[in-house]
Order: sequence, then structure tokens, then C-alpha cells
Amino acid sequence: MREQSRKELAVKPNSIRYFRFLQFLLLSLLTLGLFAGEFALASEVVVDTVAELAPAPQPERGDYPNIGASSRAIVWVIAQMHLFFGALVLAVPMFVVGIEFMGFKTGDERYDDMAHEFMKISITAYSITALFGGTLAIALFLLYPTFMGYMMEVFGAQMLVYALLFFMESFFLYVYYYGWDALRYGNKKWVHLSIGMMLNGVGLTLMFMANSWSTFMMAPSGVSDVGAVVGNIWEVMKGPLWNPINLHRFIANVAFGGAVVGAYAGFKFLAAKTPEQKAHYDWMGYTSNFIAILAFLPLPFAGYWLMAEVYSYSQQMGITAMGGILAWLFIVQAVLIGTILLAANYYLWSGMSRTEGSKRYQGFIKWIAGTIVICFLIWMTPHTLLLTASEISALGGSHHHILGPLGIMPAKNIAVNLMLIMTFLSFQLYRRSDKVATVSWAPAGNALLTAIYIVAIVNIIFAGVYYGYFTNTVYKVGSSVTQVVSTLIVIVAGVIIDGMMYKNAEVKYPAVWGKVTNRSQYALFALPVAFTWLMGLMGYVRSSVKTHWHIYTVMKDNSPDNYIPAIGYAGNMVTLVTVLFIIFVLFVFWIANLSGQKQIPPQPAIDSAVSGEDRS
Amino acid sequence: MKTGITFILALGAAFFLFYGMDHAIMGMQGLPLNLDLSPAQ
Repeated sequence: MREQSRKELAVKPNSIRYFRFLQFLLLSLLTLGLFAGEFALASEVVVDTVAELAPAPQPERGDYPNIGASSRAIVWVIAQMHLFFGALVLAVPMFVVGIEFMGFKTGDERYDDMAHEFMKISITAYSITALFGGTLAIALFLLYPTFMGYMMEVFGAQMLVYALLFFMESFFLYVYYYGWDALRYGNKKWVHLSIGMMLNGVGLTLMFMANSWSTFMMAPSGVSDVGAVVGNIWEVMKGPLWNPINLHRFIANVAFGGAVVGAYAGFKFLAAKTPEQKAHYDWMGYTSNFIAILAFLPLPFAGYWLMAEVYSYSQQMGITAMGGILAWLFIVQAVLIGTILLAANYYLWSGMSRTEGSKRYQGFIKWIAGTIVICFLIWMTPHTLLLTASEISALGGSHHHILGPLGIMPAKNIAVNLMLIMTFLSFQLYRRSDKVATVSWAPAGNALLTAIYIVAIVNIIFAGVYYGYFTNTVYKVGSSVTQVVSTLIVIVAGVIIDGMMYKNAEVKYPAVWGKVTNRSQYALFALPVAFTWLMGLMGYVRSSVKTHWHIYTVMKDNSPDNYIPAIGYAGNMVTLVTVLFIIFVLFVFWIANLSGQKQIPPQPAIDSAVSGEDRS
Repeated sequence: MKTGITFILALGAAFFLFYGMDHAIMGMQGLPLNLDLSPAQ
């Protein structure tokens, strides 16, 4: 007893020290926040007095420097690369802190090692993000000086706050990564986790600030009709599209980050020499896929909210996106999302071979696959086709009599929701494969879950068909919310019921990590490629809805590129940035791999002398 | 037999859950439904 209290006393000074350190960090952050706030407010006074009534400048063609190449193409490539790497660097620490915490709570060091290895990728990517960010700033100031001058005027000292946060991000990132082993156990782990939380807090703030620049360009707020600054920085930032973009990018970044580190795990799995390495990277790949898909499932709903806000801000902007020149891209988007879901499901089905218990569920796979494929085909069915006169006559009209109704949103809403439910079902079956529920109410729990699946699917199809095709448009749009909620009920009920039912379940068929096909690892490569392409494509849509405006309705774009680029050209550009990103990612993987390698010391001279004697 | 009854009860519970949800969500959007789920407006 006395021994124990002595130990506690010995621990106490340390815990107090860490507590004080944490206090210091929190106070520092608070002080910096207040300082930043004061700074921003002070700048508002300047903005209020000097620029309040000054309208936005309207640049002429001659105001854009001509460097002999398309300025838009240059900025496009650099901005997209910065965004890809930025998304990766911000996303990885988010789930790494979660994995680290799980390792700390369970005492399983594998989690800690995996989290540290994920950060290895992030740390290399961070430098590349910063390099592209700097290059982007230079390119924008060089190629669009008037526009950038106005943005500086509107956002003022917020830009300096951004720079300050960037320094803080670097500080927390380096301390978090390099302090990993020094702050690994006991109270020190809490300090390390707190640093991770600070890193994520700063990272998210950075992203939200940068988002406000994009959303200000799409839906300006805090300025008059002619662009004179009339609001404070907060009013400028919180435009109608800011939070929908914040949510959408936050979720998408996590899914994207999970997919990229999944590819790293796949790469290492295929290169692994020993069963232990294979087991480690198999588990790492599974975890990455789990993160990517878990984040991906609510993403369509966040996208739906964003588009609803776009429509409510400007119907014309919404129609440009989904009913005009850009509408076809949503078909390409459907193909890419279908690819992502098929790849993710395939990976889960392959992964079921890790345990013998999965045999109980293998019969479901063909039905899940069939449903996903049918939904995929419905989702990618276009509504309006570009047809010649003879094609129209052969078709019997401008729309096919059977496929035509599948081209509109009610059919696609049914397809998307069913694909998400089927993906969740795959995931649920995978999670159940190695266990047997031992609770007495397991049959009732299974019956309830099955009933929820059946009624949810019926409800989704009923809402889509009945309100979508047999009532007016208002009910058609309104019923899509009930479809989304039906899907969410399945997911939430699935997580809760399974969580309770399998809490103390018997692991009867333990998974053998590493016992998975090499083929399944290619699904892990397909995911980041499809995600990257998708982000590039939808970034093009988001930016293009402004049409010929730098800042919608406030500042016209008079550069030679002031039009929406054709889809073919955009497709090539998006492919170019995707390929570039993948090349850079391979470089990051190579660097991460290189850091773990050690050269074998050269043989001592005596050995060579001996071998020389032997030869003679 | 017991399994069948359990499943029918579960199906009934799920039906009422989703039926109520449909009314609630559509009502919240100012789009009330009749008892047979047809538009009330």
C-alpha cells in the first residue's frame, strides 16, 4: 500500500509538469487566437475607413500579363496539386490521432506503430504542399495581379493570420512527428495526443480560411453589389456556401487521405518479404480502406447540401452546374463513384478470405454485387443525348422510352442510396465474419436489423418512384431527404445493434492477417486514382460555375481564358494533374521507404585481403 | 415459429419507424402527407 502511494507520489510531479505544459500550450493558442482576432479587427477598421466605398476594380484585357502560355492552365495545375497535397496533409493527422488514441486505450502497440507510419507519409507530403502553395501564390500574383490586389483588400490581415497559422501548423506537425517516441507512454502520451489535437485544430482552421476565399469568389458576401467592402472580415468569410464547402471538404479529405495511405499499404504489402511484414501491411491496408469508406458514405449527402445551397443562392449557377454544359460531368462523376464503391466492396469481399467464418456470408456477395452493378448502370444513364436526326428517328424520340426515365434524379437517388446501403452491408458482413454473437437476444437483434434493411430499401424505392414520377416537383425534391434519412437509419442502426450484439462476442474464427490475395491490393490502388480524378473533376465544376466572373457578379474575368473550358480539354487537364499527383505520391512512398533502409557496412579490409589470398 | 413471429414483429416495428419518419421529414419541409403517404397539399 505504502509502496503504491510512493509510486503515485513519484508520478505526480511529472503529471503536474505535463498538465502545466498543456496549460501553457492552450494559453499560447488562446493568446495567439486573441492576437489574431485583434489583428483582424484592427485591419477591419482600416478596411472600413479606406475601402468601404471603393468598388471592385474591373481589369481590362491588358491588365493580364501575357507569358506565352495559358495563365489559367498554369494556375489550374499548380492549384490542383496544392489542393491534393493539402487535403492529404490535413486529413492524415485527423485519423492518426484517433488510431493513436485507440492504441493508447487498448495498449496494443500495433496501432501506435501504424499511426506513426501514416505520419511518415504526411511529413514528406507537407513539404510538397508548402512548395506548391508558395508557387501558387507567386503564379496568382504574377498572372492575376488586379484580382489578387482586390482579394488582399477584401481579406486584409486575415491573410497574415493564415501565414501565422501555417507556422503553427509546421510547429505542431514537427513536434507531433519527431516527438512520437519521446512522448510515447504514460502521461507523456497525453501530451502527445494533445499536440495532435492542436495540429488538427490549426489544420482545420487553415482549411476553413482558404475555403472562405473560394466561396467568396462563388458567392460573395460582406461586399456591396459593386464589390465595395461593407462588412467586417467575419461577414466576408461566412458566405452562403462557406459551411457546405467546409463540411464537404472535411469529409472528402478524410476519405481521400485514407485512400492514399491505403495505396501505400498496398504498395508495401506487395513488396513485403516476410509473413510478419505482409500481416502488418495487410492490416494497415484494411484500416485505411475502412477510414476511406466510412468517410465516403456520408459524402454524397454533404454534396447534396452543397448543391442545394448553390441552387438557393443562384438558380442560374445551379442550372449551369447540373443542367447545362457541366451536367455531363455528373455522369462521369457517377462512373468514378461507382468505381470507388466497386473497388471498396471488392476489397472487403477479398478480405473476407482472412477468416473461415466468412463462409457463412459468402452467399450474400453475388446479390450485393448484382445490386451495386445495376444501381451503377442506372446512375450513369444519361438523360439528354447529343443525337443526329437519324439516331433520333431510330430511337423514336429524343429520349429512350425505357432508359429515358432512368436519366433523371429520382432514379439516381434510388441508385445512390442503395449502393451506399449495399456497401454498408458488405462492411457489416466483413466485421461479423470472425465472430459469433453470444447474447441471448441475438436472433431478435438480427430480425430487427433485417427488417430495417428491408423496410428502408422499400421506402427508398417507394419515395423515388412515387414522389419522383407521380407527384409534383416539390414533393420529388422533398422526398429525397427521406431517402437519405432511410440510408442513415440503416447505417446508425447497424452500428448500434451490431455494437451491442458483438460487444463481448466470441472470436471463433480469428482473422489471419496477410492471408489475402495480391489481386485485392490493386483495389487499394484504384481508390486513390479514382478519388484524385474525382476531386479534380468536381473542382473544375465548382470553379466553372462562376462562368466569366473572377468573383461572381462583382468582378468580371477579362482574361483570354474567361470562358468555361470544353469538357474534353478539362478532362485532359484533370488527367494531367491526376498523373502528376500519382507520380509525386510514388515519390513520397519511395522517400518513406528509403528512410527505413540501412546500408550494410562495407566489409573490413582484412576480409578482402583474405578473399584476395584465396583467389591467388 | 418463434423466429417467424419475431421477424413479423420486427418488420412491423421497422414499418412504423419509417412510416413515422416519412411523415415527420416531409412535414418539417412544409410538405404534409395523408395517411396513405400521398401528398396532402
